[in-house]
Amino acid sequence: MRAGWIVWGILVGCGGSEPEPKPEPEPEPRIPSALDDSAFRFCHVPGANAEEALRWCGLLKDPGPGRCPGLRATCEDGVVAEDPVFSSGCQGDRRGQGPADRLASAPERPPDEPGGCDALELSDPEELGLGLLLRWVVAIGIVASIAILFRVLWGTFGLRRRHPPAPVASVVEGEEEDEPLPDVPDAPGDALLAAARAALAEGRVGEAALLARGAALRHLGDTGRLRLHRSRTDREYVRSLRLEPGLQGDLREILVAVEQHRWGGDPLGEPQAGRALDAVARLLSHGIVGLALWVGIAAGPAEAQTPQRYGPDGDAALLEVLEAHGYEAGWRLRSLGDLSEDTDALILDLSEVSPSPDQWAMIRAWTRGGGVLLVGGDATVGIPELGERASLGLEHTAELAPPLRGVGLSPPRWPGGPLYAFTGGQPWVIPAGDGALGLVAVVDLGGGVVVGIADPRLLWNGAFVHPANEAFVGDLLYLGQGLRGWPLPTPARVQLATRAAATPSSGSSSPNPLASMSNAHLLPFVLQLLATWALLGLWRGWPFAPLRDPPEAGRLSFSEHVQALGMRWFRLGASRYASVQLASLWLARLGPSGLQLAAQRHGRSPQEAKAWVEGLITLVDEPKGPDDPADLERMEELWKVTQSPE
Amino acid sequence: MEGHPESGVRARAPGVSLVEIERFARVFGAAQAEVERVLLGQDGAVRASLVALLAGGHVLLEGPPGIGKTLLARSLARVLGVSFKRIQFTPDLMPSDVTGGNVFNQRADDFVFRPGPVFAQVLLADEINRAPAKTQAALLEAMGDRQVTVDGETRALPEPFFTLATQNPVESEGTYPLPEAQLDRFLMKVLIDHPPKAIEVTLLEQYLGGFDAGDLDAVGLQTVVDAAGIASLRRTARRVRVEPELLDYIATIVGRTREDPAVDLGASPRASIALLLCGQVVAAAEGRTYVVPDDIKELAAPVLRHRFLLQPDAELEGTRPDDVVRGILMDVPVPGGAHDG
Repeated sequence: MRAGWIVWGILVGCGGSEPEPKPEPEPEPRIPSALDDSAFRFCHVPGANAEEALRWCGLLKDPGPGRCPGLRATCEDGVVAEDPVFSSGCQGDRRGQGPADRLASAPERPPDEPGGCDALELSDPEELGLGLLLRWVVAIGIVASIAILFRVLWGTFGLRRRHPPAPVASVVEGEEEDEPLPDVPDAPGDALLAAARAALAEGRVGEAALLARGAALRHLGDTGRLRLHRSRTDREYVRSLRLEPGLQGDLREILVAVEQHRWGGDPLGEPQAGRALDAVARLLSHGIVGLALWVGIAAGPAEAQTPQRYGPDGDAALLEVLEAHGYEAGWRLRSLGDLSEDTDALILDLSEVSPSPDQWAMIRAWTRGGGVLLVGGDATVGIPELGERASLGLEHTAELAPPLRGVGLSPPRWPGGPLYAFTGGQPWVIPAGDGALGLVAVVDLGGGVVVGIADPRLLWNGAFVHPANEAFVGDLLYLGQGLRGWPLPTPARVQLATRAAATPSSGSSSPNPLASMSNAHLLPFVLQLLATWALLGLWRGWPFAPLRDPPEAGRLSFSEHVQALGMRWFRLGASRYASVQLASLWLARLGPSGLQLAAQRHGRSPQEAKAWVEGLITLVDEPKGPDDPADLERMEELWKVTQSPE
Repeated sequence: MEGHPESGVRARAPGVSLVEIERFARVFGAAQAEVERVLLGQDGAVRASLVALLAGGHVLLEGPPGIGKTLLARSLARVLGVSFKRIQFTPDLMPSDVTGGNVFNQRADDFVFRPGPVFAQVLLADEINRAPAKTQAALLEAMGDRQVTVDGETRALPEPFFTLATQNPVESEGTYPLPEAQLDRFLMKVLIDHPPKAIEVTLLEQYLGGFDAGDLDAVGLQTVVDAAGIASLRRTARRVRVEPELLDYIATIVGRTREDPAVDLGASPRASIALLLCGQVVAAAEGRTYVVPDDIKELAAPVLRHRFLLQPDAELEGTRPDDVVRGILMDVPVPGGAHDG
């Protein structure tokens, strides 16, 4: 029954779209490619990203038919497939251009248009339906979660206002700070669980139970479900999970078992300890689901801003190529101005990133210090040692220069041939027959190396349609390490600065503030902020509530104890101090005129009331003086006046 | 760590069997349920009163009039199968009105002792702060020593002897506040307040259905135990296991009341004993043969709130005893377990 619903949901989600035609089975074994990932739709789905994909058709001459069948079909059709859903305006003005025009305009990557066609290209009807359904489910879930949190928050404070305190202080819900527990090991929950299992396997049942308790508490504490504090008891932890009955049940099972062992002196049986460990495992999996949801909140919208990374002009394949070749690769999300020692090699795509002069200086300094910089595009501004970036103009083929010859590497291919070359540096890849220019040139810079790729398209997803490019880019750095002793450890830590986000100064400006906000992709941040705010509200109390008078009981106890307090102060020899404090309090609270009115209502004439208030003001102005029984009378009068029913 | 179950340091009380504990929990639960059947919305007060009774102590109830204090005492007595009497304390109440006295019997030509209302097993001392100090002292002596001395002759009070004293927190004129030393004789001070609206509606519906607080027979309250049974339950509770770490926890909590800057005079060792006894009863009531830290924390406020004096300036600033207890509980680490198996 449930499976039927799921199938129905998928059908609805797919919106009745045509089933995707499956590619023909591969007749011969093929080399795995970074583009095998279905996210690179231009490579698998005919017509996908056709506008950009057509530029890369030239690379499909050599590879076998099993490589990028989608792109092959797109190229063979030779027309831009209209997406039935996103055809209106999404192909932009370039739709009218022919393939030759597009190739001519290829070297500069088209800028990303927030919310424009790039963002939509990822979605076909199937993904649209299912994706929309999932997004709606996640969105409703988020809204419902926040609503529940607010409701709980409101209910908590509402109850606190309306109901009297319980006569038995069963739980002290405090404003305490989080504090590490001395009896809960400071280690991740899963590590503690593993230790508990090991202890149980060795027959140390008691230790296993205690470690299981530690694992459960530590995990719940780390995931923010519990406030760990030295003053909290195990049962308080269980009670504090009342909104999550599943977790509460598991935690109770664990803690009751441990409690019998710790406080009851009952020897714990292995079956019971085993059940406790199973409960910990369930509890940890609960946390993983919660964490996944939490991450999903952030990752869902964030993913939406990077579909262009998987297009033919994107850069996602570069990361996969590097990882497939054994590098520890990752995106560089910080500014280029603070390159640290945790980077062995940096890849810059200057069609996306434009370092400022200061940043170039920092990059050079970092390279001189032993870094390896692989830079695609016109790097002559920052690395003048590369000479000039010359336009080749005609269709060229590339060949390997002497340092790379004989290493079993094929020369890289550019669609339509390379368009630029450097005049300086040591050429490693040259235009056929012209050894003076370097399509790929190497410059030694201090203790480091700069590898310049004049035509940066070699680093784009589309380039990896050709296996030679994949092999070239993947092996280049390690070849340099082997051939020329480049300062790279194995595995090398490579950072990719191929996006505008890598350097704030290089981001293109937004046309208006709304677009700027849209570019900022603040939705996940706002949602998380709201959720965090609600959680903090539950934890710390309502931070923005208007100031209120103390509760009735507090006021009563205050006013009724004035006389007793006065006597106590008098016995302590500080009745003057007490009367001054009390007079200050009421003068501040009611003001001289208010206090005078209160005195009048209590039976004084206006003149008497005025004189009495002036006496109080004098007392407050000159607080020092000997203790006097008159202080007590003054306090009593003040109490009676302020207790007047009016 | 010291006191760990496998470290050799063990509970000081002799062990208690599961059968005894289960009986305790069953009786406790039944008594609580019976009383709560007639006294709606005061679950905490009912539970605290039962705990105090089974710990051998007395309770000072503080709350406004008309919320069922008398009904609580009467229904407790009925459910526990013991006698009940009530004294309405007034400024002209004499000690002999509480304890009883010798009267001349002409037929016997001798003085005969006529017992006062204090000779009951559950005694409701209503508005105890309205009687003068001398009369209060007479009752408090009976509470402390469980005996009454009249004309040089000492007479033991019946067992169990449980006093529920009440005082009104609002009307303070014409009252004689209990001195701190006498307050210390109460095992707990329980604060009760008006029930929530929903409970009040249910209460009204009960009255519409013919309920009469003055006629508990008509309600059909069941007696779940008798005086001998209560004595047995008390013995059972005293044998509930308490780890030395928990004794240290209790002593630390009580000791902190003597160090707190807001406190003028801290709680006495009697408070520590009270916390221990209450913890044992709470554990037994939950069917456990051992005390856990939660049992101590649960009743720390009612046991401690009347046993220390606040500094005048703290009181002037609106600090309440419960705030002090709460701060102490949040500061004192709950004893933990070792990890060496």
